[in-house]
Amino acid sequence: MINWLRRMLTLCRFTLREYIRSGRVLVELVAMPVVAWLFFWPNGAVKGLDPVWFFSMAGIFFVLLAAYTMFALVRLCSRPQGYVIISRELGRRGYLIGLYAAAIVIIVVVYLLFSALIAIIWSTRPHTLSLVGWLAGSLPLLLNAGIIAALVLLIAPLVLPTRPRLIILALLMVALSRNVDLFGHTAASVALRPVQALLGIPLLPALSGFALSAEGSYGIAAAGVLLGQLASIGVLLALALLAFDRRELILAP
Amino acid sequence: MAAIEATDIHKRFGPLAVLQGLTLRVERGEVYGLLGPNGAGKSTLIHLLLGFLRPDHGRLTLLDTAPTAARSRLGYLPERLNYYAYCTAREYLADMGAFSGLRGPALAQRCRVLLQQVGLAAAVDRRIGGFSKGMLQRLGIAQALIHDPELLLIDEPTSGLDPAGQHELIELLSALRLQGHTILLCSHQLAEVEALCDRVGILRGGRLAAEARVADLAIKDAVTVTSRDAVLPDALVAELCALGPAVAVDGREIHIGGEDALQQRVLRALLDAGIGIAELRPSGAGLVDLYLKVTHGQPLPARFVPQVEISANRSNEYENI
Repeated sequence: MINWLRRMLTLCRFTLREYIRSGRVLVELVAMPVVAWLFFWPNGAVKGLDPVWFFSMAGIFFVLLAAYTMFALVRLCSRPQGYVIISRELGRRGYLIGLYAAAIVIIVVVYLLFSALIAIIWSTRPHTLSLVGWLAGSLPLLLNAGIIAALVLLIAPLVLPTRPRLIILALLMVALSRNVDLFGHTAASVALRPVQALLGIPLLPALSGFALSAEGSYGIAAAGVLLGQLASIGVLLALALLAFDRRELILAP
Repeated sequence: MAAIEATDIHKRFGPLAVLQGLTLRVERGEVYGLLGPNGAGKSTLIHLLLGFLRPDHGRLTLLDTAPTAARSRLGYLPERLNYYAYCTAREYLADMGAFSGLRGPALAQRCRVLLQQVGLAAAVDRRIGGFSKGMLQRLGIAQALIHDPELLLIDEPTSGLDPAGQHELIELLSALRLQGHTILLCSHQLAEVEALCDRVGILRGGRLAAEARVADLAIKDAVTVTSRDAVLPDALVAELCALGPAVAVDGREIHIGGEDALQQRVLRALLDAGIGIAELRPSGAGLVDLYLKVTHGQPLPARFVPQVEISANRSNEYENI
């Protein structure tokens, strides 16, 4: 197990080095100050920084960033270069988990830099975001980023063939359309409602995590939310590993 | 003991049947060349052996175990010159060693030795993106050898190289051969296979259409005697075969190696037995000749037709990677 972890972490380092040296990381580094300027720069609209505003906006930004980073890493590692690595003792599982770990490292480092940037911007201005409040909101936010990264990994062409990928995306769209009145008050809408409710269940940990991050209200349910987020990551990664184990590996240039 | 044993392997990609009952055996310590035109299924076979693909049907064992279990004992040099461009040769090789479980001073030492051996000592700290094709293939050999594998799977090693690069690479592979590595070399470069391999197989129609020892193909001044009689007496066949391994009887044809004394003894034996000689001609059974016969679908001498024994056990014993 320790040897497997060591090999997996070597892949994580290897991938990060390639990602950084190729300049792909510039997207994250440029997006960070742009978002800070757009949503957190003190001006007429933003007079003070409070936790709800910070974690709401940062929560959305880092979910999108996690999706982009994971997608970019999967693309980087879906080329025939991967054959030589996967043919070694590291194997398919180590390859996939190493990729995921590299994405998480990038997301966490960018989040820390982003938080530091916001702290610098608001250091001489009034705000209500304490260090404890930041820590409390950051944990569910980062777990949500982890869920999105795991989902993107699962539905990546490297891992899942086209048909199951499209099925998962369609189910996701149905689940997310719960708050959109697609058919008005028709029989179709009534019939769709329980399906939407059922499909929305796997999304609960992520949605609850978003609320927990923004509100920072750590009651008894908070532990359940965090465990639910961790379980979501675990299930998505397990499905990705299962699919990747079973599929035929044809890496195209 | 076999290093590679493939029995009745079938593999399709949609409507395209690439392998259709391929049976192949490579012995340990042997350098086996697999020839065939583009699309014959050479790379598909290597990807099956590495566990990237799974056979639709058939049985594969590598080093007496399932392909996935043999992963730590395999070295792989791919055909395409694709490597990560932004790391240096030293970094790349060290990480490849780490993926195979090596670490510490032993790994550093192994990297140094291999980079020296493949002639990249002066380029260890250069980024791979700036390497020529020849340098990339030499780095490819180094990464395939980093964990000192028992079996090397090499796919079209000289593809895309200039003649000087091809020559350098063949010399490197010759050195590996002398070190006793078991090698499966897939290629369509006949000269490369002739220079490196002990045995050669030729793929056609997704099956092994011909198989021969390279030494048998390369005998200079070898001759073929054709008798007037359609069938030679068994006692005579036994007597001829007992003269040495350079004599092969194939129906009414007798192939004799290039040694004058041996040819005289075979002819004397035939005449003493009262066998009429219809023809005596140079063998011309070189690798090029054999390859062209296979690819053009012409009949082959029986000694070059593989003795395929399809296992009655049609279970697929392939495992996940």
